[in-house]
Amino acid sequence: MRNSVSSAITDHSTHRTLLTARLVLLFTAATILTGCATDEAYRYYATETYPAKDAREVELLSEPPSRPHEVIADFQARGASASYMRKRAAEIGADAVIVVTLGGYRSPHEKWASDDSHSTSYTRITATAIRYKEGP
Amino acid sequence: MKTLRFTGCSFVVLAGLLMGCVNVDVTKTGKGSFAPTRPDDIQVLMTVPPKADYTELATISTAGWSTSETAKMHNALRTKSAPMGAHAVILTSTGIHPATGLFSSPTMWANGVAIRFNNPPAPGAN
Repeated sequence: MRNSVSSAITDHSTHRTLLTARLVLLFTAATILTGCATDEAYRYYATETYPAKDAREVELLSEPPSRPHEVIADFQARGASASYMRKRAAEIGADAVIVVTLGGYRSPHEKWASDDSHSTSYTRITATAIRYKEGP
Repeated sequence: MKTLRFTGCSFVVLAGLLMGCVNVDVTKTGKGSFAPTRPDDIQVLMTVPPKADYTELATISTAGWSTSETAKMHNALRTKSAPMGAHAVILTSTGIHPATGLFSSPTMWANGVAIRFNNPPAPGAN
């Protein structure tokens, strides 16, 4: 009797370990497939909606253009790429998207404010979806 | 499982120590985008003139600084708020984390808000 109870506990424990391993594997796979993007938060400002377009048609910018435009949405996320943001902008029919990476590592050895040896690191990526205004 | 978690945490802390870096985290709160500003021109403020006309761009926080490196921490806030076009960072809270172990030291942290003045003074003006 004691042996069968002990065996049942061992089976239950093994089952739980396997289940945990599967869940971890599933979560890892899901994270890889979704591009590791977390804390995604979007805001839509336009009063109308626009048809989606191909991501390749959306201009990728690093700062606002001089051409008159309207801001239609803001996106932000952790662990996402510029192309990921471009796709999100394409889904809402943006003409262009201004992508800026924010935060990241900072070396305590840097003395000048304008120096940033870790400028490629970032904790968050933001994107502003815009549509160009027609006419002068 | 606990051992694995502990090992994972230790690895992250060790990696940070080996890299000798401090993290700055930014969360955008404002609308749209602006052209980047020069980090050297960004003001670090504890108070804001009551009549100042400004727009909040983002919250910014950093932690893990040596308690004797306040100015370097301020420079980090300047550097990391420049890409979003900030003119100033208003410090909303700062503090010191006590040492957690025998071989650790207290570290300094700060939270702030990156802002953009709607009528900024001309560059070089006092």
